[in-house]
Amino acid sequence: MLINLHKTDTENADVRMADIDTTQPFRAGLEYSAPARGTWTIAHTSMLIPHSHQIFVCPEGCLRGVVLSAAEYGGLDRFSMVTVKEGDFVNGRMERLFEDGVTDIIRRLPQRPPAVLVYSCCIQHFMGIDLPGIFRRLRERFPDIDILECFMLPTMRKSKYTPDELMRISLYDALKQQEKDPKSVNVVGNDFAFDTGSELGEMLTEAGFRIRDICRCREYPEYLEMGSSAANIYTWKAAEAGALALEKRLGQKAVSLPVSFDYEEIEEELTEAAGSFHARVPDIKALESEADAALARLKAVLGDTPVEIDYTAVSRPLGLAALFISRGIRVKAVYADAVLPEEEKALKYLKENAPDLPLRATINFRCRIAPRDEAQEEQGKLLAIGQKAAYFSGTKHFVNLIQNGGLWGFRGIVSLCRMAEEACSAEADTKAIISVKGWGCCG
Amino acid sequence: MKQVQRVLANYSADLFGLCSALYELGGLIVMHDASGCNSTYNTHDEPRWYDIDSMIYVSGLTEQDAILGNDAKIIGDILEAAEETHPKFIAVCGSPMPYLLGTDFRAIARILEKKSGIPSFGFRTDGMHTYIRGARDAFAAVAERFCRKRNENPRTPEASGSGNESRKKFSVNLIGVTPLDFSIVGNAEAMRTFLAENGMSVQSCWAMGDTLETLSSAGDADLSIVVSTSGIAAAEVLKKRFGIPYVTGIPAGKAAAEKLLRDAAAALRIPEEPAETGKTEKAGNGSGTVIIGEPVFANAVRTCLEQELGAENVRLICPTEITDGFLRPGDTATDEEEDFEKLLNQPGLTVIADPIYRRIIERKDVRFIDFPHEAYSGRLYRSGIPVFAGPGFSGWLREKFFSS
Repeated sequence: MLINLHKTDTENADVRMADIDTTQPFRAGLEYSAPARGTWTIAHTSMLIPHSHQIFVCPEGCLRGVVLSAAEYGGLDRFSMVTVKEGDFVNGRMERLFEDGVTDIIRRLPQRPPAVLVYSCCIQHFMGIDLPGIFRRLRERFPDIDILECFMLPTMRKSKYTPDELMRISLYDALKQQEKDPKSVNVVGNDFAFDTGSELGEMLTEAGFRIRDICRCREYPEYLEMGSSAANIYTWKAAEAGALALEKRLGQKAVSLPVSFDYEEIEEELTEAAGSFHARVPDIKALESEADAALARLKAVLGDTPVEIDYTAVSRPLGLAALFISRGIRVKAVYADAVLPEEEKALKYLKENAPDLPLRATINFRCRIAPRDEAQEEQGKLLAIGQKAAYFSGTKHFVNLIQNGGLWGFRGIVSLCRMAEEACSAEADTKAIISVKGWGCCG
Repeated sequence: MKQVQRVLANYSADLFGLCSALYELGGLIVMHDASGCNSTYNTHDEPRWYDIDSMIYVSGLTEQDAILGNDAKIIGDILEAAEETHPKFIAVCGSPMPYLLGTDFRAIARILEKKSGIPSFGFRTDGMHTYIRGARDAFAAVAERFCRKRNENPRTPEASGSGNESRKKFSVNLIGVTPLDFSIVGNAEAMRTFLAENGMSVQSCWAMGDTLETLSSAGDADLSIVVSTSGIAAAEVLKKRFGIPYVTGIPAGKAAAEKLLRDAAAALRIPEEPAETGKTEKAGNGSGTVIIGEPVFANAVRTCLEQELGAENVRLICPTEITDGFLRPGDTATDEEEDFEKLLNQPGLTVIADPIYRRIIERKDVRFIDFPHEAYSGRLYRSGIPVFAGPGFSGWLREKFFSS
């Protein structure tokens, strides 16, 4: 039999809120990967460009994950690859292989795609091959195709831009300078369509704005029309670099309206957005009442049932924990490997009001050996918000939410409470659901 | 063009094969990689990840550590984990970036062993070979380092009796068993059952269902059966160290099963009853049949097709590494899409392969029999993987082969 892994001390994989004094509370060491696969990867996000084709130029081991991701969501028709082999490191052929491989694939595609996303990887950047030259020549060779330079650079994930940020820069690279429509606005950087039924969505619509979102684009021209918008709203930090790149390149104003669970911040954002877009501020009191009622209902349903929250579900897990605790909901743990600077206010609240609440790591090596029986200890009554919380707690009651799920504002809180209520009353096949890679991606 | 896959996928890589081979043995296994290798491996290539704990991690290599050659980071991190988890061994292996950096894994392993006192291995995987190479190196290392002969009075095969009666005296090592080639649909169990039904006991199974302690007793076996090419090197080590002979083959179908038993008997110098030459159905077909897959598996399927179903002109295409001694004239060793394009688009051809290979078929008169291979399509078609170990496989193949 295997050695008993679960006797090991996991103390260093969690920290009390009261003891957090840095944004990186866990020492970086060996990393574990929990089998909660719902979050999207670059191979999923890039599929959002309608009718585009992806080409990865990487070694076998790096290709394996992306090609099978594409296979699993039925996207192999839009996926190709060039395999880098050992000899290419020393034979001086890396540039030729890259350029000729991509060229060969494009020429033999049964249909000419409007855009091709070409991914380089760590080794090519470390070797310092002439990627600008390669991309220049590819663009000259295929003037009818938007050749987008993309990156699979995990080695640089802690450098200037994270892979998420890089992807969200490349994703909009095909948008071109064009006449701006002052009544058109984009929501950029989400993997899930922005909820136009949110108060922000309704406010913009009532003010006559057309909201464009890559998640809703079905044809390539629709995607290109995003270039006509006067502004780009982004709702989480990873989208910021992309929005700023568009501001610099196309003059589209970057507007940060992050998903928040703090009433004051939501109100500030709505007020700011109303000012920016010359719209009418919605009835904040009424919206707050809606959210209050939803939270009260959830509290009534939950009773003393504990809740655990993870960062893959919501971009501000501490903020959601603070909101829940403020309403008497029993939050038992929060899962995140770092504390984002924008969570400072929520952290302060938690330090004061829930100092013993643990922040738990998810990639620390000890997470592999942490007990996953908390739900059992609670007689099965434990609600998880997010796949990782569901996995680590061992619960069958969880909200299968990925990256905010397009929710925003007070109405986002209402929707989240409704999903939580539903999750309380229905058991889910946790293993089957969280094993699906890139939840919701349909290729 | 070579090295281009326009429509096909690729096989699991060497470092994933290594992890798969060592998964159940209680070690601390570290892929020296930035990120991504771990999730790729345990999502697509490791069906045991959710339900069976194993300490497999990535080092989290960063740009700064790569540029500065900071091996002290990975060494310190591994020692920290080893101190807390008390693994039976430590294995560290590489991905493409360490290959580019020239990381010396054997030196790292020596340092780890010296500082921790735990047996440690360094493997020069680089993510640019197939899983076979990684699993091969892992099994060979276990055979070299951990196997001891406990029974100092080995049985001497006696040439008395025949068939089951004589084989009862023998125990075997099954080498090369990983989910990448056998999935988790019951093939490893079926091989044990088959051997038991034929009078042989399993001394050790490398490496599904057995512990490191069990594997370390492999030196007491009388015979090794190599069921995938990933097991050959370990079998060679056991032969060299303990004089244990080995045969290759999978009992996939009646004919392959009988052949395996005959080969085993020959290796053990047991007289066997002559093989029955049963009636075979005739299945002459256009350009014949092509089987794509790992060579030991593909040869077993070929044996079944030729000897039981009367198929003619059965050829193999082996895209994984290590094919020496497994191919006949007319067979091909390639992983190039352009080769598949030519070899598979032949009039009237029957192709037995992972469903992803369907994508390269353009001709309408090519018949395709799905045979998912976890090392190729991962978990995607697992529900379609049959239990191919055992004589009962003949029925499955017959039904597929003779149906329209």
